[in-house]
Amino acid sequence: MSWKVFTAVCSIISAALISVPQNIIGCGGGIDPYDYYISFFNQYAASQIRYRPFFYTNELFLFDYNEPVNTQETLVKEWVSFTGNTVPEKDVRAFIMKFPAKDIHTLYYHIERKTPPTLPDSISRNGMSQFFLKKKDLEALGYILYAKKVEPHVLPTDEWEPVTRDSITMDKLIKNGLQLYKAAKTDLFRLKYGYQIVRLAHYNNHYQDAIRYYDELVAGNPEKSILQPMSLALKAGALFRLKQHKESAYLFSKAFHMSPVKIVSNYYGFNWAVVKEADRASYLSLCGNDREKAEMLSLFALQTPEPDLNTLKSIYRLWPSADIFSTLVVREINKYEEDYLTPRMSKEYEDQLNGIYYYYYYYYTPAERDSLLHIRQEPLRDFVNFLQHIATEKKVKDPALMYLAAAHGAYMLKDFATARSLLTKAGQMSLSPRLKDQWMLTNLLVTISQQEVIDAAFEANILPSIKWLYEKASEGTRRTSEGVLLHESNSEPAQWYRFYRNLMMDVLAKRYEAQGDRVKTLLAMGSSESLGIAGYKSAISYLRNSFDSPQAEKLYDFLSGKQFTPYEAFLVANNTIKLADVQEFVGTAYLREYHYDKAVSWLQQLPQQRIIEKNPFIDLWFDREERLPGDTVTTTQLAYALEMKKLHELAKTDKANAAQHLYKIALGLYNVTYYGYAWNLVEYFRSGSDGYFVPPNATPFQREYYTAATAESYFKKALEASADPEFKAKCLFMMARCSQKQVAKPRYGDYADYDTYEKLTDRYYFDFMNNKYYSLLKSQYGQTAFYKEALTRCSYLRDFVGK
Amino acid sequence: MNKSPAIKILAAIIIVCIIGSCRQHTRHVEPAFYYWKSQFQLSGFERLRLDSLQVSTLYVKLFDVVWDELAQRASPVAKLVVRDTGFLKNINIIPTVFITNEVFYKLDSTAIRVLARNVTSLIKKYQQLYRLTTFKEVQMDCDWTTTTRRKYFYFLEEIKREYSEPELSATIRLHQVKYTGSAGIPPVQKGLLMCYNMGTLQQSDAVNSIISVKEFQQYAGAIDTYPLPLDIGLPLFDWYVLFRDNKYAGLFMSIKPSLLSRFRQTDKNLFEVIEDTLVDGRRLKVGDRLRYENSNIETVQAVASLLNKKLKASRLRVVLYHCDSVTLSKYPSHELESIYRSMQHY
Repeated sequence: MSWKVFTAVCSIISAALISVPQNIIGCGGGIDPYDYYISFFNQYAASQIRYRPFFYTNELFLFDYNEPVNTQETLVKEWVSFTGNTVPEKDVRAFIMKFPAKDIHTLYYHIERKTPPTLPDSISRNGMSQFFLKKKDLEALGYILYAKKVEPHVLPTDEWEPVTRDSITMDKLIKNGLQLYKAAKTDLFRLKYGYQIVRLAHYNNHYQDAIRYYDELVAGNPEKSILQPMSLALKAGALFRLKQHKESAYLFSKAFHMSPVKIVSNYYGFNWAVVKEADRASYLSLCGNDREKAEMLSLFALQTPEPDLNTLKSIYRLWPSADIFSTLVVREINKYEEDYLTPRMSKEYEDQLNGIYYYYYYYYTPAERDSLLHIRQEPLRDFVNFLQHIATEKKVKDPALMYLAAAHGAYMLKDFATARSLLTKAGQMSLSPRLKDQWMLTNLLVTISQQEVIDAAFEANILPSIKWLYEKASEGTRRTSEGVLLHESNSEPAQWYRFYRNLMMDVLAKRYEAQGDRVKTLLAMGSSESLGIAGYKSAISYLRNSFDSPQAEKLYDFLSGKQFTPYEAFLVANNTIKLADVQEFVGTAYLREYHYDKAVSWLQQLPQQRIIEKNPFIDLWFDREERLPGDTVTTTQLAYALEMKKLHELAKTDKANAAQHLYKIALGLYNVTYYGYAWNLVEYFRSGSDGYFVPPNATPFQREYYTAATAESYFKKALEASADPEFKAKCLFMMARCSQKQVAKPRYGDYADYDTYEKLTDRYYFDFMNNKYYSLLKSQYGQTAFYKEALTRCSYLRDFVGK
Repeated sequence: MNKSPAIKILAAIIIVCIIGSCRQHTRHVEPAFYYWKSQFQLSGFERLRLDSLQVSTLYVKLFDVVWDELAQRASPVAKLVVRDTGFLKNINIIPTVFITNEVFYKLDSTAIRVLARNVTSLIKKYQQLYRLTTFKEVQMDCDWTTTTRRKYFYFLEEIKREYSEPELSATIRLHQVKYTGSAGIPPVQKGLLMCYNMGTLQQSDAVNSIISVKEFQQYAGAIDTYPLPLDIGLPLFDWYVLFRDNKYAGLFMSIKPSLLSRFRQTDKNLFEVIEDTLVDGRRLKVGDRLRYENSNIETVQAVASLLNKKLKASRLRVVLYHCDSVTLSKYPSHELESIYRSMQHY
């Protein structure tokens, strides 16, 4: 079979398999909408929990889809207040929400007509029942009965019931409600009846009526209650249904700001009502005063994923003490963390952001990254200046937050002098506990950034802050039965865990690496993961991929010596890297470097040998990385090292059989490359998409692992040590297999356009097939039995030698 | 030499058989539509269209079943509210329930039995609520996978057990027809073959993942041997597929022409974002690409023709997705008629 035809067939089959939807569904994970950029600014810093649904994430419509305030509980509290706070909440809740209408009827008629109160004990003993029995307030009871009649028509009773709209009954209820409204003696009950009537009309799709009823029955009512914004939202919804979008948006904006109840619902209403975002002025023209304009602008700001200083400035100009302003400022900081801090940090350390999977979801080319930094830098500086200015004016509700946010912005700009000055100013003000925490974190970041070299003295200086941050990060963590730590992604404790992780992984670890301190790099990474959920382990991978044997030994000596500074002791104690991991790895490192004496010496000390279910000296016609069916041979790293050591000695001492010993050494070397059967003697993970390519910045081990160059040299030595043409043919065949691995295969992502990639791939296949050894094999050993068998066993060989 | 009369007679019989087998057969095609919105209220235009196409059957989605992560259970959402009960009483309604595949990942067999009971109960409540005639067929719609196949099939069995009177049908995707080994055959009385979403939506170099003759031909070979009787579903919708850094990043059901004119058109159906833009509150960045996909009438007709060759049933229901005035206004009536007509002879 032709190599190209085979490749084409494989490609078609692969493409067909890839086309099957379940493969697509099964491939890859999703982005974490709360952890996709580097962040150090607490989204809860403004302490405005009522705006939690609107904290910043550009990966979801809302940060949290749950209403922050429970409507029912708020209504219950209003009823408690109605009783003069004489009835406990639980009794009010049971009476209003749970008691069946028939029992409330019985109570009503007992009070009105003195009929026997045949009520269940649980109801007659209820505090609210007692209240009504004492006060004989038939108006209130009558309203509750009416509301219970309305309820099934405006609320879903059970999720497995259809949505019902019995228009005729709803109309009757409206009529009844209007009569009761007229008869009501207080503003409170006129408001309550008005609300129910508007509600009925709305859900009965009589939108004009809903609007009219609101205007006639609710609009002028002075009573303070959440039923005011709830009624207003119903009118807004009716206007939306009638396609009066601007009026609808205006009222939803008002309802949003009147109360935290149904704030998510009102925001949805505003969002849907705004048909033309670009035509803001026409929506704002409906606002009656500066405050209303500011409130509506704040909702536009919530919709905007881009930094939007102009809107913030407008809001400040119109109404500086706007309640939501602090939340908007925190959102802007988070936006800049996503769009400025994260690309800036990725640029500083060559995209090695291990703390979050930023790299994998938002990969910018260097040109795109520079462009983003350039676009965002001046607006960020303007934002910092603006915050500084309004902090001094002290018209906002939280000037300290403005200073702190400005300091954080200055930190992002690497303007540490300004950051320091702003932190000082913030520190002189009265800070809430959250702002104190944020101050400490921003201060720590600035302190680390200003330090040129992180030495022992500096580490001692920042240790209390690191410990503090660690404690905050571990608050609220929860373990599963398997001991795995979990965090609810958008909770406040989860953020502090991420702050600690980001600090250790993406700030300190990178600084240590830049200083050439591999041990501290590793410990910082391991500490960043010590509170994390199970998953990708960067620290152990860093150890296994970056450390050579001297470095690994040095690390082991450091950890076992226990001569730690308090800072080091803290890192070691709170770390995923354990001494046993390092001890095991030292042996592996020596194996990788072919130092079998040292490998044996280290591996012998291990309390247990890891069983590798492979034969490292297997002689196969083809590359195979998985265990062959029926293969029962096992080995250990120690056994392998001992055998390799012995073979090297035999190759020197047993000259008569040196060729065989050298060949076996070569097999032992080849089988621990990427292409070999026993790769797991020297590696811990093997990706199917690697190979035929040496990664950039490859370590000497990686270079050997992917090129099999040393194995090739030993097959060559074996060939030269033998006079047997059959054996020589076999050696040459193996040399060819090694040599092919040294032809670098082009990778799609490395080229700007597909045409270049395609041309280079064609060239690659040509070079791959025109291996220097295959022609030699044919010309010099073409008559050997090995060659003839190889032609039958390896179909590619026929292609290679045919070219 | 005279040929024997017997041979002549035999030859004549053979010729007659051949001619007979080449004769076209007439098929009774029942026009139908899917109604996929959660408020049932047809506009005047929609009524006219259904009437002019002589649509006698409407697949009406009553509700979806999704996995509620917060409550840790399967819950109905987007429950239908009917504003126009009169129309529903005068047409053959096939209630449809869409269930996400995730539901079947999460549920065990006990919960599946409960779900089946809840689903059938809610369907029956709709029938009672709106006083509709007894349903002759109910349809379950779920894009099951190899992993969820066993549980989904169990669910279907339970539906049948709970609600035995109507015929039970299920939607079948093209890949499930081709790969019956892994997908299995659902335990229903008939299937509705969804001849859309046949390409790989998330592949950046796909041309049109909604409908394509080339894609369809990859699956067509298995249709005539599928062991269930099949009705046919064909698309009438369009969308824009967003790619960022060559990775799939979402869908837009529509983009206003005024916004689209700000993008650079790089090919017939490809657009490149050249300045950061907000569309429906979502940020598009410079360099993002949009691929416009639609259900071009020629392609739909071509696929219908290919299907026609594969199907030998003398009665066939052809269902267009979906009944919506914006969608319908893009197709003149005669084009939609041609789809139904193209399957009337085989």
